[in-house]
Amino acid sequence: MTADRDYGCRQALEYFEALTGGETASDAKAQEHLKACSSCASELELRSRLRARLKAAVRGELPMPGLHDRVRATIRERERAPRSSWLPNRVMLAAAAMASLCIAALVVTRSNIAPSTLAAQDEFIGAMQARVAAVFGVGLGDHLHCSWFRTFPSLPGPELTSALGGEYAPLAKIVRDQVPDRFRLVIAHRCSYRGRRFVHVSMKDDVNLLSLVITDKQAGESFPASGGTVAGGIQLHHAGVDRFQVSGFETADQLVFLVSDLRPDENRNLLAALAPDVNRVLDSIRKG
Amino acid sequence: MGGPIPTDAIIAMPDGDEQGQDEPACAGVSRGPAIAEDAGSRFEAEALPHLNDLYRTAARVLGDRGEAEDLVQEVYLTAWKSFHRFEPGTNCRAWLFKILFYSINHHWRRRFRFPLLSDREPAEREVACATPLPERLTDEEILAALDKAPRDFRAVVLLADVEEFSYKEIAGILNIPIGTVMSRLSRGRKLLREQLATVAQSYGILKTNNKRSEA
Ligand SMILES: [Zn+2]
Ligand SMILES: [Zn+2]
Repeated sequence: MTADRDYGCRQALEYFEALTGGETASDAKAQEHLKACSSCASELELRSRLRARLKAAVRGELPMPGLHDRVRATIRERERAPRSSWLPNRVMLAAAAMASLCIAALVVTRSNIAPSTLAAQDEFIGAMQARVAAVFGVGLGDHLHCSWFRTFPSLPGPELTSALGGEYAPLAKIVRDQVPDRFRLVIAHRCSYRGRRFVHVSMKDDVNLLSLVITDKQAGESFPASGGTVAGGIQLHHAGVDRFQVSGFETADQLVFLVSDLRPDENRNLLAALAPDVNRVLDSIRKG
Repeated sequence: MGGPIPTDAIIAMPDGDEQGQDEPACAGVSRGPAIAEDAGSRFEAEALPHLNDLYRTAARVLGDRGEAEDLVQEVYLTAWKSFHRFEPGTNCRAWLFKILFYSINHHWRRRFRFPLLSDREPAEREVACATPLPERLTDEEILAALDKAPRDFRAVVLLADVEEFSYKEIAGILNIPIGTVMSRLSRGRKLLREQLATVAQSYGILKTNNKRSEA
């Protein structure tokens, strides 16, 4: 084979390689080469047989029979939301939860919050809380109420953290330092849900939303005595419901939660990283 | 197709300040009227026929059937939420695939222990092994070879050679330049050939020499 001939094969093969799917060859030179060159012809023929086999192999893989129905049911459920009944099936429940969330989301962003929407939110929050131990529900509730159902105007950092109050202000920086850079601070304030007061720091990226939530203990409130993990001498406890993860620890008089839609181990590890510093801040506030 | 899929659609969270003006629900989109009474049926008719295509692509890209099923459900929820912006007659299938890959890149990425390959192409290598005859390979062997190619290359091969999207459509779906689509496809096909040769050798289909098989 001469160098020229070699180059011609390469050119021709590159040309045909660049054609996709239904495209037909229109380059006269390439077609001519193909007629004259049996090695290119058989190479192209091999490639097309290979593609056919690949297509058949990949297309042979079908989803479980139930997937069509599940997706259809999810959409139907979504149309009926937000006043949907909670179906017992776990998957359906998750789907319905997302459904009513999304409907609520549309309403919240397009009009002022209507009572029915707030009712739907409360219904959603109640359903989520009911599926974790009561103490986890405390932090989960504020996260859902205050962060999840909220739109975030872009406020400059200082304006945000001033709402936190001087003594709790270091919390915003503690969270900021442990959370990946792509997250931005969207909440640093005091808030209340169902008559209960919270200190609340929230960050989000394009996909995930997380909250550090702190509240005073009420009578008899405590995490389970056993289970959980230990970080820096602090006992951490974990729960999850659907896409939400709740990790928490307690001091003598306060409950601290990290609530997010991160992966369970990510949520866990993040609170483990935050806990010593948060604990120190709470400790110094307590001592005045 | 322009900017990214609206992220609030992916995470189902109201985020008014980030609902941009250039959300590409699909090609040639216009802001349609609010979701109509029969939108559900229309959505089902337009979008559901592509479920198997989305599933098998997700399964091959993620390498996990359970995750693929979850992801496909998520894609449909996202699509449904944006369906009021979908214009009948435009390419619904490409739009669904765009949501699929957006979700993989921005949400599911974190689930993988290994980082995704960067846009840097791997160094060009000569394919030294002969390719076995396609007819001698089983589906399992072909899929195993495909699964060994890095995810980004696998994705382009799947979109081009299995789902038969055009370069332009693939560029839109993956949000990368057409030139990158073409180089990844060419490289991905080569990698697949190499893997097939390795698989074939390990199954004793080919002898370990470099002669092109003429049989
Ligand atoms: Zn030739
Ligand atoms: Zn709050």
